[in-house]
Amino acid sequence: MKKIRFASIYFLFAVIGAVILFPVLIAVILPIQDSDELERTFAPLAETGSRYVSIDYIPQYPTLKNFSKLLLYTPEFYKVFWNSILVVGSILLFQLLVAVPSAWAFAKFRFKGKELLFNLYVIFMLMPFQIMMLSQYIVLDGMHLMNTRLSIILPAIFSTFPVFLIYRGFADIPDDVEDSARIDGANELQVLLRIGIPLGKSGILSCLVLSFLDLWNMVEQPLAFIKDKKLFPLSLYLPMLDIKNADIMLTAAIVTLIPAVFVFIIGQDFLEQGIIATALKE
Amino acid sequence: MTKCKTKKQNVYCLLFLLPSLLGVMIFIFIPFLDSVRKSFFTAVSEKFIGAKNYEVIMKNDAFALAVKNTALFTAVCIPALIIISFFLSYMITKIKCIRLIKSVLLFPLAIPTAAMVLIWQILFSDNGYINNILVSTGHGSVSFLSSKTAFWVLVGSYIWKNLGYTVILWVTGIMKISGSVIEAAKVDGAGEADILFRIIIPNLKPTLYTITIISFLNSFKVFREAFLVAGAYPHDSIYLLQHLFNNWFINMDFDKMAAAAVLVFSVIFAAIVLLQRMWNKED
Amino acid sequence: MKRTLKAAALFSALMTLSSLAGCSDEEQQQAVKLSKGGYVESVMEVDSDVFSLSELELIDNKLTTFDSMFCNEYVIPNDGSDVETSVNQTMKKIEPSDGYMTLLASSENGYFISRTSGASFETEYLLLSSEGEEKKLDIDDFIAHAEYSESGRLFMVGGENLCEVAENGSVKPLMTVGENVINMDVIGDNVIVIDEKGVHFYDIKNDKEAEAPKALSDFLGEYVNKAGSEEVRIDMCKAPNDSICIACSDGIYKYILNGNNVEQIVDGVSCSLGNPSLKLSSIYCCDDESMVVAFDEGTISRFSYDPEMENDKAVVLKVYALEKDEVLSQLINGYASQNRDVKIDFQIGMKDGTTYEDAMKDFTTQVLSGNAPDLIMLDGMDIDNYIDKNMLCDLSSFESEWNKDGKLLDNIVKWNKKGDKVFNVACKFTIPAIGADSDDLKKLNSLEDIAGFIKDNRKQYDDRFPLMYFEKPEQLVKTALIYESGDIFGSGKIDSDKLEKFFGSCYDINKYNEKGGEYVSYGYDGNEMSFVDRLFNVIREDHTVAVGTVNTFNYDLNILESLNGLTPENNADYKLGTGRNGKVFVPKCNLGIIEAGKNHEEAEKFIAYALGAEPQKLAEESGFSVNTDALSWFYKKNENDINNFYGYDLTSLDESKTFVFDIKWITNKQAKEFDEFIRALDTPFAVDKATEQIIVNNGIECMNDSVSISEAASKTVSQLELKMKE
Repeated sequence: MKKIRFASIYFLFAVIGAVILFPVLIAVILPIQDSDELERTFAPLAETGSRYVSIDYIPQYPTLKNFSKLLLYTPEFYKVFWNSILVVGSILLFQLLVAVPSAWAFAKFRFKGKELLFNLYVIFMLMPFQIMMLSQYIVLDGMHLMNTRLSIILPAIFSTFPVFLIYRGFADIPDDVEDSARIDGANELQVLLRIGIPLGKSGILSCLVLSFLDLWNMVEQPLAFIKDKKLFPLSLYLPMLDIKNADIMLTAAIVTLIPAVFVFIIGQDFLEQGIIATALKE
Repeated sequence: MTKCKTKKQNVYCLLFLLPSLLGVMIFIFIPFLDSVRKSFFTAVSEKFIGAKNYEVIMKNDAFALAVKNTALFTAVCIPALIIISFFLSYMITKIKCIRLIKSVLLFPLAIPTAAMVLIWQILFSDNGYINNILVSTGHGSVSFLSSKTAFWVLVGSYIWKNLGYTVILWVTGIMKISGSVIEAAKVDGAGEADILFRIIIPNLKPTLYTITIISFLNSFKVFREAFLVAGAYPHDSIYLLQHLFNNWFINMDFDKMAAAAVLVFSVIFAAIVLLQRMWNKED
Repeated sequence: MKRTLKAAALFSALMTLSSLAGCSDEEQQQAVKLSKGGYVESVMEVDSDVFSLSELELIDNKLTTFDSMFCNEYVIPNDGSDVETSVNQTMKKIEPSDGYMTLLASSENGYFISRTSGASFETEYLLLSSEGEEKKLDIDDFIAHAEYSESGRLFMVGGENLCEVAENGSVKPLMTVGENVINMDVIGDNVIVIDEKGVHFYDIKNDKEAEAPKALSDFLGEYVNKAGSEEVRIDMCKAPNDSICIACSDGIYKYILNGNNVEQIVDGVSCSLGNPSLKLSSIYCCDDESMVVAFDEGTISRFSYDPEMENDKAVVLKVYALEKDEVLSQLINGYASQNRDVKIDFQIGMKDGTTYEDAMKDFTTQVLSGNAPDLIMLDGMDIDNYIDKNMLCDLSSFESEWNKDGKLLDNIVKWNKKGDKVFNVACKFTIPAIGADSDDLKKLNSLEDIAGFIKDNRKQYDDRFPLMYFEKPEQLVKTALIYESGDIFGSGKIDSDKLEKFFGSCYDINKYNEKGGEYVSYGYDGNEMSFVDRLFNVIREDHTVAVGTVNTFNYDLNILESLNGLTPENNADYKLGTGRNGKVFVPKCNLGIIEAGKNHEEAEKFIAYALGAEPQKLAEESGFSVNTDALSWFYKKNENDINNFYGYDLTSLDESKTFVFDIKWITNKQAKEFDEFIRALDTPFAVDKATEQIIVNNGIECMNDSVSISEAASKTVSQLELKMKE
């Protein structure tokens, strides 16, 4: 009986996995295809006529030509890639610096208006960009930051999303651990650094991973605040390309994907370790 | 939780909060207050007209449609996601190969929006791949993106993307439940269903709270895909709040934008407070 | 697992490093802009009857240029006295009696000439020495560019190669270049070739290809990209202190060899270089550091350095337009040349492929942040929306400035007046028309009629050629909208039935216009045909129809009015109007002043300038003038301008019939009729870009069978209604 149950569960996951991976598969196969095959896939989308899109699963002439075209012949790609790395990297770094203490304060201290403030944080996190767009324009323009990378970096650093995620991680830490540290004479900062952060690792890491994925794909803010194409991040490079350049587009998408995949593979490992560690603590 | 009794602790508390508070003040809160202010004035010429903007948008059909769609989308997606992901995560905890499955599930989150859009176009457009299959097997072609099905395509896209992370959150929550408690219950003769409903689910409340909020957040993000695929005036069924705001901005209807922003804020505020009350009541 | 991790880490590290390397020279140093000292232009009009001017060269120590087709020689003296014109006898002697001759390059010692015989249409290339000795060259390819070096070596571009022509006439290829060579210049020891791939350098001293300096490549590449599909006119010359001067429509730039940046020394906007009606031919840098620029229209300008010239202009006029417009560019250039103390900041919203939405977002941001433009060209924008928001100034308050003595066509200029107030004025206008054989023309009174006509003719006559050719379906919908928008939007709301009929007509026209499978083009690559081009087809063939707008006196109206003079007689006829309504016009270059702008005064002066008689005579090809004085000047051209008579030979595609067409300027009687007609026009056509895009996108979808016609119509209606609800 158990065997059948296990088998059916595995089967279910296989199906789900296939459905989920199907689009990903396409994204991976297409860039290795030759332009003729790609043409059969993309041309019906761009043209007039009622041809249907056809996808060759096994590329007949697998080629790395698209990759070389992107990596060697499109210098804008590097600029754009560097922009993304710079922007995302600096945001993540400062997000941590700002959000970790705040989340710790929310999780471990009690003060007047805490609930209200936290709720406000959550609501601001939820508000779609379009709603805040108008007023952010005015503030950023007043600070003369329009059309600079800072215009997307600064607001993102103070996003309340990391606070929320890291708070979760800290909230689970039992109080006695830190109380004992306090008794031992540690001040609050040391409590945070020596106890909070190590124990709250899972929260911080999950925040890093999610934040990275979100920022790596950031589209609306750069579109709204940056005019200079040289300052665009990678996430905007893709929509800029026409369907005529679809081969470069998909290849660029893959290359965009790789750091993200890389980050969450590493992040996953740490996440798991964090989970195991907490579980072991019991 | 320690109480901020000592002055020293108070000071630290403030210090910890300060950078975030300042930033939120400057980049989020004050702009929002400005929006509130703007909601009582006309758009470009800035004349005071009291609550007229609110009147106007309440009567505005486009606003009603957008609100309806956004609310419907949220009401459909979030429960669906929560239930499906919980179901999956529960099953995952029963088997091995967790790591592989988790990686597979997480993949969609990493794919950049623009690539996603391209793939959706390949698959779902009127002469896309799915229609190719449908037509060659004898069914009629379905206009996925330009009819009511667009809504479901969007829902599907949302669930596909967020399933992975939600499952992970559930699994993390489930695994945190002390193994010894479950062992003890088993010894006491509790069956699977009992364990599930009496032990696991109650202990997952904080996780559920987090998941609800994050799912809510991500439900707003589908706008990106919808916009890149269907443009500024998509089919009625996927016309969301953000489309409206986007178009209002282009037409310089700042007054309506501001009033609507205040309204949306109030609604979300009420929802969050409600959610919290419900949570805390059960404690 | 660990290995893949390591690999991924390595990959990411590599990417990061390489991207860092790839943008080290991102920031270019900005040259320090001095507050005083700049170039002043003095224009010498040389000869208005010039075909095109050849490259400015120093011959016998005198700066010389030639009319490429007519053997006229122009010498520009250094002391500022008048240009000396003479006929070059050496060249004149070898001029063919029938056919024509083109001067490709000139030097101290001789000329490089192409000669085409009128009988055989064959072109031969030859070297002509200053003594008159001819040497024929063995060249098959078409030579686009040629130039002599200072040492007398001749270089040319032909057959996708840069070649050198030796004195004995042999041709040696030196370097491959692309298919579309935009420009070739010999500067000092280098030959610089600009083609669609970029910039190539060839070192003629060491006889090998050299590397182009990055700053120069980047600059030229950017300029060429910006131009898009428009013709690029650019020329470079050697300048003192090892530098190169580059002349283009943006102005004159200086590049110091092996330097890091290209500096602008003359701004095109306020001089002849930015004048859209002048085509740049060449630039020459004299020893005294002044620069001489020649234009194909026969104008030569000298730019001399004035150390006392003020550079920081006190007055700034900010102008915004959604799309590039010839009329506005012309007006800006004219205004800036006349008002040298004004700096004009001209911004085009939808440039470099920016979409309408992004352009509008940018515009909105500017208004929001207090940087609103002063003057705005409202074509394609939702004018009434801005009026509702009190964004535009009421121009009637200073009407006496721009409507002096009532010399404007009020019905056209003030087409959008609201009561007594006028928020935008139109500077030009065009008129839709329909052309067909006269019997057919009577029955063509709507787009539906035209579509039916095309469909029936395709079925009945099975003609091979296109009956009403459009390069892009998008253009078909846009043009068709002019004819039907009155009907569709007439009642204030969108009439969905009429919209469905509209799409149906577009669908039919698109489908039956060409015979399936057999495509015959009239040879227009990429550019849409004008109304008159389509009318030529009506003349040449049977069963064709022409739609489009009539824009100008020369090449439109005069041709239409000369239809009676066709030999042999032909039934081709035309009528102005959309068929449904004979009084439709399309107002163009609508100017308005933004309330939030900082400089109302200058904007008001600009509008007064734009509607004045002299500026209204320019940019003729983009629309009829709205100023009655300018119109009178156009009407009277039949008295003065002898060159307004020319002929066409129109041969049918099957070559069975040829029509000879003598085109004359309109007579006084015809002018009077036209004048009465335009004063009675009362139905303006103006649709904002967002609405147009919705209709066009749905139209294209139904034309390529992605959706049915009724679906397209209902989608359009729901989208437009949604838009109106917002």
